[in-house]
Amino acid sequence: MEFSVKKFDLLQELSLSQGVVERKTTIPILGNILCEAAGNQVTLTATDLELSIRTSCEAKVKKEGSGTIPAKKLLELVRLLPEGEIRFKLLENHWVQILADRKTYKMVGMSKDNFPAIPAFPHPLVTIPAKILSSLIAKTAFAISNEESRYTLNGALLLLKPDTITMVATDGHRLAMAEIDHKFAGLTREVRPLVPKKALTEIQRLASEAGEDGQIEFALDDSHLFFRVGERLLISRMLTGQFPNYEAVLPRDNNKHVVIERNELNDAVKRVAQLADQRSHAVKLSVTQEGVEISASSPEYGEAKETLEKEYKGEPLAIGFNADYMLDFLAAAAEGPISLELKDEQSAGQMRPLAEEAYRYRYIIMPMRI
Amino acid sequence: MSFSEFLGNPRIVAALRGMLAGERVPHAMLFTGPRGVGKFTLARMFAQAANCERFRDDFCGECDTCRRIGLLADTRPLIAQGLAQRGERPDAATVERIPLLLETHPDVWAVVPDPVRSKDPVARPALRVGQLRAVQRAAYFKPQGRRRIFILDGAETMRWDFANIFLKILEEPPESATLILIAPNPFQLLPTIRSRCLQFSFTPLATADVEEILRARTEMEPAERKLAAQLSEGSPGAAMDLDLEAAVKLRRDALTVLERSVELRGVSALFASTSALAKSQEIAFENVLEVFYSLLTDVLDLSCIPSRKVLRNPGLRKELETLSKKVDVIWVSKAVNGFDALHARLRRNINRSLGLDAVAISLARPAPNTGSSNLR
Repeated sequence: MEFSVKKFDLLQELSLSQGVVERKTTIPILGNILCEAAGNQVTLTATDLELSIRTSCEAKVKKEGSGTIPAKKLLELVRLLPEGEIRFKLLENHWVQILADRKTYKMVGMSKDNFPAIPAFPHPLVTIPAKILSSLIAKTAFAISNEESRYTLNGALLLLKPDTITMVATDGHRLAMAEIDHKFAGLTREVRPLVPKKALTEIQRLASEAGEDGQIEFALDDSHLFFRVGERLLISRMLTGQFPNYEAVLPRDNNKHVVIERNELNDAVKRVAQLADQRSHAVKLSVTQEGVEISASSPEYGEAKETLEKEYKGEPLAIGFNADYMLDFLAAAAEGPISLELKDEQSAGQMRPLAEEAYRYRYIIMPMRI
Repeated sequence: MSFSEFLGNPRIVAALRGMLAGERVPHAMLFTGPRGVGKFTLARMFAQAANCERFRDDFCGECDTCRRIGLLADTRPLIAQGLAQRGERPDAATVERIPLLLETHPDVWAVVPDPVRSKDPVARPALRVGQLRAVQRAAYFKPQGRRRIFILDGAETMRWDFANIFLKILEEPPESATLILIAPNPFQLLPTIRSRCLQFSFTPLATADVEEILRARTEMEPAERKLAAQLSEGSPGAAMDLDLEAAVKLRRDALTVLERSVELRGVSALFASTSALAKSQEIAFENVLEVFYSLLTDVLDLSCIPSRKVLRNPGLRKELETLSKKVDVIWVSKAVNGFDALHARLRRNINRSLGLDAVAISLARPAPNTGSSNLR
């Protein structure tokens, strides 16, 4: 293997793979990046066994071949090198020589035979605009569970139907769901894979690199999900198990509506939460004819009370929510009015932003006893 | 390569192959049996067969999948690599954050007790909670091939509170993964774990089989092979690791202790030999006790059937015969009880040398005085 590549190109691709390369591992090969030089490009592959990324950049290939290089050290070195050409050459015993101008470095690689096999991209199933996918992830990913024992909640459900695309995430206490109309040419059935959390983060990075009208090609086989943007391919292992039947928990008859500006509600909840109980983060929302009173109290710190004057015609109601859960949603929701929809003290509350209507965005929180 | 190369325990091999052929693979299995009889080897072979590209209920050993999984056959270099990757002298948090996992194929993990010593010098290699969490997390990803296999060697070393983490995965198993727990004795595991696994008890191999394996895998002389096979008590793994000279000496030393304790001659010499046995750095005290059990079995056999041909320690026949004439069944049972009690107390970390002294003295015959010291 021998090739030369521009620093700028290489650095860009290498930084993309950093999110995937496993730093914390006792399996040495996973800290390495696989470089394959062929034709007029070099392909870089990184994997942590759950997630793999394959990117490539233009290169002058003198001799085709492949080798592995420690990913983290390579990135740090390339970052420090001045702009210009960098030459790579595979030496004996898996060493890789790196030449830039009159600077010479040699890195200890590992045999490429140890590098895990990465599945090839199958026939693309659909093309999703990067902006839509990225936006769906931003609206839902925060609700994914971090509890490892609830494995089917460790990812978001991506539901593709011939004319809609939906993403749902839940941790059992709250559920975020966003849906948008999008006609998929050639999709006749419903596809509903579970996408692991780490993959979602990387998809967002790829999407942001893809720019305004970037398109993500999506495909799946029995055990992998594939997301391709141009030459960059992200491969995630699929999670097993059934995502809970989320449709059953979507509230149907929450008929007590009150509309609040996002920023107003966000600021008020944030302030009140300062004095909320440190363990439960509970705040109480009392909705009456006068408006919405947000209050919290904790035995150690004291109590807080704010009243937002809003129009409300229904029966008075008081309900408790976890302030953190509310703030997560308010940070993700578009600016503008938010509709808070309740039924009674014991039933789940729903929040819906009224702006940005294209995304049918709903957020459901289970109430707390207060 | 195929299952036919696995010697011994044919019923277990047949059962495993049957599962693969019928595609009814359980989510968790527990392999138990003496050290070195091939539990890990068979688990590795099962992983190969479950994913082999050519066969369904056997493995070729040549396809890429088999070859990669086959690298697990020798775990020592993999462990060394993994530890080096984690860096010298990691602290306890690092050990949990960067769990030691052996992985040569994305679908098959071997998890072995982490040999890193923490500050506590008596700490033995143990499965860490970080390793268990990593397995639990990985198990819910779909396999690249047909089945994910997690081999947990030394399952008895996991702490009981950590073992509880595992219950979740054993109760709600992912359909595409199999956990294989390996432990010498099923009763060292929590009953909750034990009851959720399909158990296979491995038995020791016939001496001829052990010799056969030694012939294929080592360069021992025929006489050495024979001796090693006898001393290993049906465990080829133990036979291969055996230091013959040390093993023979250990047996002789242990026998000397028994002989002296019967007559209670030269108590100071007796105590010198017991303390040498108890304080030896090379040989684990559990192994010393096993040697005593093996000698006592022979003594029992000879005291009942003086003409008995097959012995566990044929090299010491003469000495054993002499000893067996001096003692009877009651003495042997007393001795076994004494060693059992000592073994049980090891868990509480008693003084090994004193414990062995106490057992040795209690075996004096005829008893010097009835109220003589015993273990208490």
